[in-house]
Amino acid sequence: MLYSRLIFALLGTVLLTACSGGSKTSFDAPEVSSTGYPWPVPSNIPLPIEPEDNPMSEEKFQLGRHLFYDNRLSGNGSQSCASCHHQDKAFTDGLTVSVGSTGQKLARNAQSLINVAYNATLTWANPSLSTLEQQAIIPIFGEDPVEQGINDENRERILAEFAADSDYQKLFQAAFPTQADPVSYANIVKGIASFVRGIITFNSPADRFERGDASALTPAAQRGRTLFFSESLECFHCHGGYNFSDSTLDSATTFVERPFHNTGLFNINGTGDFPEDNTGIFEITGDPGDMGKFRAVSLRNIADTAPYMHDGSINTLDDVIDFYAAGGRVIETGALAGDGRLNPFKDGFVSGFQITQGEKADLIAFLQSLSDPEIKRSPRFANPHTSTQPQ
Amino acid sequence: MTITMPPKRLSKLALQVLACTSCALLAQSAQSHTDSSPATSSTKASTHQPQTTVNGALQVTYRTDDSTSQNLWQIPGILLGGEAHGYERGPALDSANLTIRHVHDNGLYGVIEIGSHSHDGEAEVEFEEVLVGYHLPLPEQNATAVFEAGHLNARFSPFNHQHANEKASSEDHLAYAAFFGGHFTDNGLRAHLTHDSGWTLGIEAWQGNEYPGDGTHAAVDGYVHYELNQDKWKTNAGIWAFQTQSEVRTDQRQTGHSHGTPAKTDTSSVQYGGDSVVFGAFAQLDWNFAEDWHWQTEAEWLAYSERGDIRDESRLAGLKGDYTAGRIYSALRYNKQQIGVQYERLSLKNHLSGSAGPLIAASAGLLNPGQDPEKTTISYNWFAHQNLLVRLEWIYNRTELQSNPYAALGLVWHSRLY
Repeated sequence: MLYSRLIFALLGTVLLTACSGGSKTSFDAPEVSSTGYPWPVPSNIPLPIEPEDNPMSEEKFQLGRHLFYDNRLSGNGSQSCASCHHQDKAFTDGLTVSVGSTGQKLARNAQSLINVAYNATLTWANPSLSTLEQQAIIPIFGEDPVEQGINDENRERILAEFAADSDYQKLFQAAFPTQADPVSYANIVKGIASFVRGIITFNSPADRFERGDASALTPAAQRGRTLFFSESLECFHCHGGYNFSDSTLDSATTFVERPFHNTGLFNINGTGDFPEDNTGIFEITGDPGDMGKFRAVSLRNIADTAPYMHDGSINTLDDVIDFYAAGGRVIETGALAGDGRLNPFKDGFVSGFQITQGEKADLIAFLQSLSDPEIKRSPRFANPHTSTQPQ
Repeated sequence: MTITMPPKRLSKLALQVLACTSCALLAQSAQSHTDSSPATSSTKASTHQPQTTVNGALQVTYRTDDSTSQNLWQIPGILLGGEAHGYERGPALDSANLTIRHVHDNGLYGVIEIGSHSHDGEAEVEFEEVLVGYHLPLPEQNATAVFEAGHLNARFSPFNHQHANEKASSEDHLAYAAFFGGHFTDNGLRAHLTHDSGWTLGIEAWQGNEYPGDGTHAAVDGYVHYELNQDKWKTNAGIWAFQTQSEVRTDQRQTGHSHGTPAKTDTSSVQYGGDSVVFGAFAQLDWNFAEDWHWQTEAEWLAYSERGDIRDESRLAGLKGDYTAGRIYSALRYNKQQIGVQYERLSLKNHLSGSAGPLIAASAGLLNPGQDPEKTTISYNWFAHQNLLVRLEWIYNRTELQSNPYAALGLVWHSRLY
């Protein structure tokens, strides 16, 4: 029996040494994914992508903050980026649709800028617009609609004003220290993109709950969370993930998806059409199947960003839930009449559901828990021209 | 290999099976004194006398609590799959098997084993084994060769697929649940050579359909066992190795999809692609050290490595997983009473490379805070009848890193029916 004893002794030794206290999960050294910018991002969330030609820096962030709030960055000196993106409204404007510097109404509702650094695409419906640098050009120089209204006639004058401002001279120099003449529209765009990219929060009650703080959500919000992530309501399919949008891109993303969805807001004449000036990515692709498809926005601070939908046509979260519960919107009269529930291009997840008043209240409680109140008052993101101590 | 059966409620099924068992037991009790062991395939196919046998086995267990705190069992630190499952509070049909074996006089034989088990409140019936084999005596070499083909239970270790009455516990071994999704069964071929001295060499080749494979690559294993039976000692020991490869392996226990937030473990959208290699060693000992007294012990060690990558819809990370599992069981039996203790432990080391590592580790359930999953089972067995075992267990399950003790009362019946 020597063999048996030897075998057991050997196996026992192996068991004791090999199966004790060794469990662990490790990752590549943090510096692999770190950057020179102090991103306020928890360790379980990937960092945003920084464009190679515009890496983040605190100096560019501060330059961008000044420009973002400066009305001089418009053709008639009446409007800045902040005119449509108010910090106290989670960087929206509270209007159905925004209004440009010349008074022209835009076709769409102003989106929140919170965590847009993680957007796979920018704006409501443009699959090709994937960086904030590309996007920032549109409101500054766009001609239809006119937003800030900088054009060939006024661009040199406006740039000269910034170049002559001693504060901006310092800000531009600090942001682009290797450039001899850093005051340029290219750097204005980079600065604004850097500021907007830096508007980051992962500190809502819902975030804290997910990080293990069970007390961060009220019982009602916890019930609402269960509903939100349920197969019956389907919310999470388009508004899931850490940024509550399926159109999310970060430094850890390998396979990029840029989804868009038709939610059944319209079905003009039963043909699936949306209003002519607001047809979603159909405007870009020309593909009939893309009619009425828009990007699923992040739901961060969603309670602060009414009215809702791409056209601002739904006023409250309560109404938004009713809309999704119905599986689309019915417009009975007028030029836009049609049963959106039957829109042939509608997303399959917008199929309608039953919900009680109590459940709706719970769901709203959860949606409210997605708000970080601090980001609406943080001096770091505030207007530096009125703040005495920029952060 | 699953065959369709309408889902039934667990308790209803368990009661039905229990009723059938009782009837069968009463019917067989007077005449089933000749075969107290269940039929297995190759080990029982050595005779060339034409014979058809039918054996049945059944295990039902009542547990006082769920073994897992979640709907889906997820050991932190390892991708799970196959039929790995937790155990639910209440009555459960752990297993029911019917084995039909026919041995032809020219050395050919065939085995069909139909099995059923339940979890998540549903039961399904499977062909556990469907095989044809050929038994070739090699008298000049003092050896016997066996060739088998079909849907087979792997034989690299005797613990890969034990029948209920052979197991030290009512529940699957932790190592096999974690590494093989319960046990490894697949379509394949087996050849093994057993020498009269007690040595057995075997090799098995598989389609690779079953966990930890995904059907994209074949699997293979090889083993060396040594069995020695003396007057009062019975020993069996062996070493083995298993290898397979997958490309898009998912956790097929789930049918859902990503439920969003990274803190919520939901591995349904995670795919693993890469190599899976397992090495194992085991030993069994049964010592009849005095009249009516037996000391039985088992020990097994498995080392499992995964080298590949894991991905979800939008992310990819490299995975280097090094896992070990150990189990030791010791029992003392006097006449019809037996007390046993089993301790099982996993060590799960993962290293994820790439910037997606932390996020995908969270969604894949690969985050382990540094605590080894472990499970302790203390059992009392009463061999009430040579075909019937009553088993009382206290199980301290910390596979989800939280203590979850519960008790289990089970009946294990097995008999030759024909």
